[in-house]
Amino acid sequence: MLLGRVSKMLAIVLSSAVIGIDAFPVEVEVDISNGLPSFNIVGLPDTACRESADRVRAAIKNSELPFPSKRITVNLAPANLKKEGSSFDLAIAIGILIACETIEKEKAENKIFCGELSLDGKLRGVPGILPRAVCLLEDESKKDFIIPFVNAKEASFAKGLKVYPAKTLLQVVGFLKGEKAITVQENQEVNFSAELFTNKLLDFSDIKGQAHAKRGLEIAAAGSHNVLMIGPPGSGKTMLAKRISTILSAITFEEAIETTKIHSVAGLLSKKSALLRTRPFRDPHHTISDAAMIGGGAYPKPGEVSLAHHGVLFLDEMPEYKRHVLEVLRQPLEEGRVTVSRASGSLTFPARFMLVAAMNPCPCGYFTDPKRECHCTTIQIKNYMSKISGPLLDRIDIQLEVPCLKVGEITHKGQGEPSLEIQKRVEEARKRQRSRYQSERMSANAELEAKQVEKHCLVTEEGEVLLKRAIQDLGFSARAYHKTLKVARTIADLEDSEIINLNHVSEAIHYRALDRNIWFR
Amino acid sequence: METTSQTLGIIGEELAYHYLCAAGYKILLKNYECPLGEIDIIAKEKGALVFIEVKTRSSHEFGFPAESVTFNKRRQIVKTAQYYLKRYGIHDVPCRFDVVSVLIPKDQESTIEVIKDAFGESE
Repeated sequence: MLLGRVSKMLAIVLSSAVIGIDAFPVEVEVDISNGLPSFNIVGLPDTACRESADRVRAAIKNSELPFPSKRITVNLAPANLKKEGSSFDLAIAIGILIACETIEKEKAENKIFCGELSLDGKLRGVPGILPRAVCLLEDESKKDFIIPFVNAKEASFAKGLKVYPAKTLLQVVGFLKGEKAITVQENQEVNFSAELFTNKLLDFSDIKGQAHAKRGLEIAAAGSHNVLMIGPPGSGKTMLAKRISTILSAITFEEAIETTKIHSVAGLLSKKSALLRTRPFRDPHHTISDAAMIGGGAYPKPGEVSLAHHGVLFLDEMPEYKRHVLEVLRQPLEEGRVTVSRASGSLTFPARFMLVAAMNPCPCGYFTDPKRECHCTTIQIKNYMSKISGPLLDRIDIQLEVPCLKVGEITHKGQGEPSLEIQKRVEEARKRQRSRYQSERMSANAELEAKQVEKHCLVTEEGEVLLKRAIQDLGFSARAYHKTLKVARTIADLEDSEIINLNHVSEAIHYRALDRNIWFR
Repeated sequence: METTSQTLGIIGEELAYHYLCAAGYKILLKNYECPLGEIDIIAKEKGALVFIEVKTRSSHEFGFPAESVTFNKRRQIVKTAQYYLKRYGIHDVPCRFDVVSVLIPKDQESTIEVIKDAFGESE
């Protein structure tokens, strides 16, 4: 007994998914066959993805398009990779409309669909649009990218990609049928001038005294070195750290895209700017968990170290952080990336950040303060200090002591050097570094590997002698030796000198000596 | 006359039967029973096989009649439909599930409402 005609209805629509911060293509296959009406999604979807069935059904019906009362099977290929999120809604809806012949098959070819549907047929924004756009651009097959309107700006930074932003499902259908055109989103020109984005409220001129610390931070910013500031409460450590973002060199377009990709995946992009125009400044609270720090979750999401990629990670009151949270920083500090392993897979996120840490020298805080008495026991101080392990300390290039201000310094009315002046010097130093490391795809001295240190850090004879003595007398490790050389390289860059001389080396050694002073008294 | 819920159901099914006939449904079976459950009416409409559940109430006091087709009831209907399709070797036929809600108030005209494609296999 056969009722109705036998028909085969299959549609394949292209979409893409994001794993970590990289996108990969997904084929959404929709099959409609006769039988008891049902709607199944296969291809390892998670809950949000499986619930897309209900959203798609309502969205199609409420857009006054026909929804087939048949057996619908949706496959998200490759079927062995786990899919998450609601971004396949649009592709599934288009697939169904093609399979039931509302739209012609050919119209959706060479197009990538991404977006979440609301029950009334509107298109909602999804995270991770920029990674998808960049992936499409590298693909070179010149596919069109159809996305929700709110994500349009974000996608527009992928130069050369044809992006069609749509507000509703009906608009997409009209566009595919050729009834109504959607204007192509124009690629945006980005201006990264630092002056435009300097924070008007924060400025280095606000800080009285502390010339030594300011100089240290300037060097750190110029070479993207890690910094640790030690000092009693109220000496201005946090104040200094908060103003670091005002002296950083301007972010380059490539760096901005990389960092924005991470922020996009984490769903942290603001609708307004869509692209990060300044280097990120992340200051997580000290109660942070290790998963939040390096990234985690069932489907790993980037953590603070990755969100601070090409920017600053500020850890205030460093010994208050959980020990294992500090220890997990070792890999990212050394390699500029972090690998997160979970049941769903192992992912690597970029995490090349500049670590800025601040701490008190002891639990009460006044150990190094000449005016106030510290009432901590030696054991207390030792315990407090030992929270920062040797290996971690070794990875911090510049250690600064931030002393308590003297009376004259506090009441002094004059203004210090403004951030803009410092920033100009930092920018110049960075320019030198960039041109020097152009062929090696690096941008700062801190990223140098051992071999490159030998190649690029040429030291005068007197400098060599001093370094040898430092290794002997201060007990520098091999890493500490390299770090010192890198800092010396940055100091030389700030002075526009290609050769590292005695002065540069001695200043660099001076920034590493502090830990020994306090730690082994 | 006081109607029991059983007779109310029978009256409702009778009303639904006539209503559907008038609406162009070709009734194939009434009260199909199998070990898995029961389907009130099986019919054909515009080339599709329709499994129909009739629900009758005498007042709105306990909600609309159609509301009482709960998840378990729907599952039972789906199972029975699958059994029916398998039993008679019916493949590749568009099918759907309709619910007919019949309201028979004491002193007023009765109202009948057909909810087409009320639910699917996976819900």
